[in-house]
Amino acid sequence: MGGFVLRRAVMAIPLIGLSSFVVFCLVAVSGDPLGELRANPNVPRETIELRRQQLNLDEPLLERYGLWLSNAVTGDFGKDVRGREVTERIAAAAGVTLRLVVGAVVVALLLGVTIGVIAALRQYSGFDYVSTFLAFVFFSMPVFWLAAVLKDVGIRVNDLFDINFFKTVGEKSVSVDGGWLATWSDRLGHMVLPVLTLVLLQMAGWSRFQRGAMLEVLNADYVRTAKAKGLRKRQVVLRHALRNALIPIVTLVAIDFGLLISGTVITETVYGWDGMGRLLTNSVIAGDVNVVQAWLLLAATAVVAFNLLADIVYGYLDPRIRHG
Amino acid sequence: MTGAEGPRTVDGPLLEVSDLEVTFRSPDGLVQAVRGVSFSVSAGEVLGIVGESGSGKSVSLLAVMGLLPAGAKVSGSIRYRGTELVGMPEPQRRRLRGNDIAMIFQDPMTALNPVLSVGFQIAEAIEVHEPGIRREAAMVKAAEMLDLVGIPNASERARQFPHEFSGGMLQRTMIAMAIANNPDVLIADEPTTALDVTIQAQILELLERVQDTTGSAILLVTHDLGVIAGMADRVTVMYAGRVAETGEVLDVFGHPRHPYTLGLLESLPRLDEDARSRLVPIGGNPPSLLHPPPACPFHPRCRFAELICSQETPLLRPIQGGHQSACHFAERLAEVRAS
Amino acid sequence: MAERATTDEMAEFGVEVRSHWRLVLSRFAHHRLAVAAVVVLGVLVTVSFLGETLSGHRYDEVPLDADAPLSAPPSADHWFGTNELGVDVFSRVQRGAQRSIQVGFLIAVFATTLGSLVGAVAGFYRGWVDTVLMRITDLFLTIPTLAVLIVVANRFRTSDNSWLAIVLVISGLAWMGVARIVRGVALSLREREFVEAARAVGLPNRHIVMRHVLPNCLGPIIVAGTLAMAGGILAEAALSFLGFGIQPPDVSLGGLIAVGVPSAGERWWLFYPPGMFIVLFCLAINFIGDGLRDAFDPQQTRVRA
Repeated sequence: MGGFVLRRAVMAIPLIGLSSFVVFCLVAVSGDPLGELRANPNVPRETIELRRQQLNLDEPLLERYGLWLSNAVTGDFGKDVRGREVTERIAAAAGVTLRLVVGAVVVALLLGVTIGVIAALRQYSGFDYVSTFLAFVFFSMPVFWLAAVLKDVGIRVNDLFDINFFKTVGEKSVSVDGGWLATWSDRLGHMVLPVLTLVLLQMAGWSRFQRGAMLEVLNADYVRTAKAKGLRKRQVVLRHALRNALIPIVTLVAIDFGLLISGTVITETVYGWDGMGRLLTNSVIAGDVNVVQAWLLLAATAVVAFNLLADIVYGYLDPRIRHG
Repeated sequence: MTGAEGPRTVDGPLLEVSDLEVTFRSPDGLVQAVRGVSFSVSAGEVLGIVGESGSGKSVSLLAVMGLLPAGAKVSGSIRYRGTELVGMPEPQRRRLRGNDIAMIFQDPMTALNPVLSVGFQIAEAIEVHEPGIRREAAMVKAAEMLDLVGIPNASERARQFPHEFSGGMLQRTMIAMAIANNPDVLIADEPTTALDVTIQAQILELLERVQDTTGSAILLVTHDLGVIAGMADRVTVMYAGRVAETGEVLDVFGHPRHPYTLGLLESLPRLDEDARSRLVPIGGNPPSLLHPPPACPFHPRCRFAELICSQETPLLRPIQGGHQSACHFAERLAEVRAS
Repeated sequence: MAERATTDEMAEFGVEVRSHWRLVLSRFAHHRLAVAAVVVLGVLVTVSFLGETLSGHRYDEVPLDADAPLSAPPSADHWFGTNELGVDVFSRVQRGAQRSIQVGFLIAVFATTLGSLVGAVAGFYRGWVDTVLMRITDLFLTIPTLAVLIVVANRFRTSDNSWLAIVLVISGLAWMGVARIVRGVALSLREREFVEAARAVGLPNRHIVMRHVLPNCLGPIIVAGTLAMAGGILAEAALSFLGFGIQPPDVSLGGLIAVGVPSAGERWWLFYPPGMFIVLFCLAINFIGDGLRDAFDPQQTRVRA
């Protein structure tokens, strides 16, 4: 098992490195990092020149990459367009996104697994058909549209009941009167809708997946053997079916979590959260190369790291791989 | 655990199946998997059931165990020690399963749960039917069972997982699991089909040893005539959900009285035949279970078929002693004996 | 001798393929939901491409009339109302829909073609070819899709035919799933008897891949294609919504929704119709894909006699 983990970890590093190079090239060809500065009449020539030097724009591409990489491995990702440390900006944004994502993942996982398992146990029942149909509907829904619909619904509900619970902009209000209860309630009000958006979409996929995994297990030979031994139906489902059926979803969740770190762009844009998503769009528009580069590296690392985590967890849960 | 008396003290057959019918609803219509099948098996006896896929043999076994899927309809009679199983409430049925009537399945590689240890799975079978027993005691017993079926280093092996066992060892494990509670009736559904030929012999030998020790009845289902010839006392030949012929193995194989049985025997390559002579297959296709042929199900492929065969269903009737055949012209086959 | 064997072989497989397709079609026809989805899809496509003939207005027709209805709710004349310039919203949705369908279709074609080739070659040839191709696939999978789309699409914001660039970029990030699936099928097919037979007769590998392996992958490829189409439409809409995709004056559903969001409360007709189109269209595609998956590879509970 240790060897297995070590091998995968060792393979992960060049993968991230290669990914960062590909991405560096894409960013390099995707536009002029000095364009925004040049377009702004208030920016003095010296600032532009300083920026050019910062970004080593006079060097050929490979050299630039090398310089960037050598700094990156020490944790120095340079400065953004306005001179702020890129590391700080990304850390702050990542924190916001994590606050959004962690809650959503936990809720979506609990609901998704439960729905999927029940749908499989009651295959072809009304519950199964309805949950399947709803899952398909959410698959087919653009994130931004769902987010905007929920936003609209939140506002209407607010009006309808003359309350101001559902907040639709930002992570928290600028100032809140009252003690910690008011603060928490405010935070909650800001969180509900964006988290709900993410939950609905993730849950759709996970419940379908869990349903499939559960069905496959329920039809497996060893479940029939368990019944043949005289086990009660509940014991068969819990001890044999469920235990095996829950293994695949764990890895899927790990992988999806890695993807979500970079995948909340739209939700954050619609709800005005200053997380990773907004950071990216703003930086791309501003031509802020250092931020975009570091962002993409973090995203790729998250994907690879969580894939590795998924493999490790799966290897731990499935004895066939643990001993393989 | 079974009653205080062992299987041998019972008079008459331990398991008696009469006029069993099983139908399923499928998207294409009603599948008549078993259409009036009767057989019985007594203590210390091995009954072999032979047939192609689609003959209804596996479904019959599942019906006895009560393991048919939800959409299946069962009618007829299945009596264990005189008690009727058809229509028996599930909690009672469950108490018999794995305890009085146990089953081993065809593919041992997939029949065991890959994430649970082998010993645990045997211990589970014991715990279910012995509610008071503690886990450690059950695991010890499980190791004993593994030892009984010839697994070396049983106590170590018990903690291992199925993927660490070979196919033959897994089948032995299945047998250990099945006999852990000393069942009266042991049902084996193609126990050797998925195994190498050399391992096949070992497994069959093991089953015989088990029977000698416990005196249980064995219901052995297979499509391999050789296995039947080597191990069974009596044989029932099934075709298209019906019994074609039944009787003592020597009688049925030596003097077949049904064209299907004759066809099966003739299609086997034999050591004492001329090496250049051709194999004689049974012509035609296996019958559809959705729309079985009218009257005698074999008549479309039968070389002795006459008009009556498609009009009047031949019933299973005695030919000689316990030897029975469901053919209008069973007597005629006495003359047409395969060389 | 080899000539005749090939023709016979072809004929044999030809017959097999024909009845196989008929079986697939009949299984598909049994899925009422999937069949309904095909009808819905047909209606949506027809309505979109009928354009002006259906709606009676042009999507870029700004009325010069002083009392033309501006930001008007749906009426008999304007089925989805008008926007703040008085332009008919229904025709704009139609136009955006046309774009989306074009984009989705092309993405499906490109992504599945590329993915199938990579997957079939990797699965069939195995060895270092397989390793290299799969490492490349893994590499592409680490790239955060939407982010890179944003970065690259930004480049093409100012060019004409921005939509074609978007299509190419999205396709370039959508082929990996197909490749994995096809590779899996190819790996298993490789061991099947008819491939051995083809080799025994002396057919070159290239021929075997093109004429034997790929046709058998068609099932999963088509299913993957439908999913790629839905995914492609959603990706393009997301890009356009954020402002990086299809640029004005070209109309896109994402763009329409973006414009409609601020006024979703009062002027709902600007916001809900384009979104509903996307949902209905992708829903239909997903149901069809599901039906196809079952038609090609039905999972029946095993009942062995």
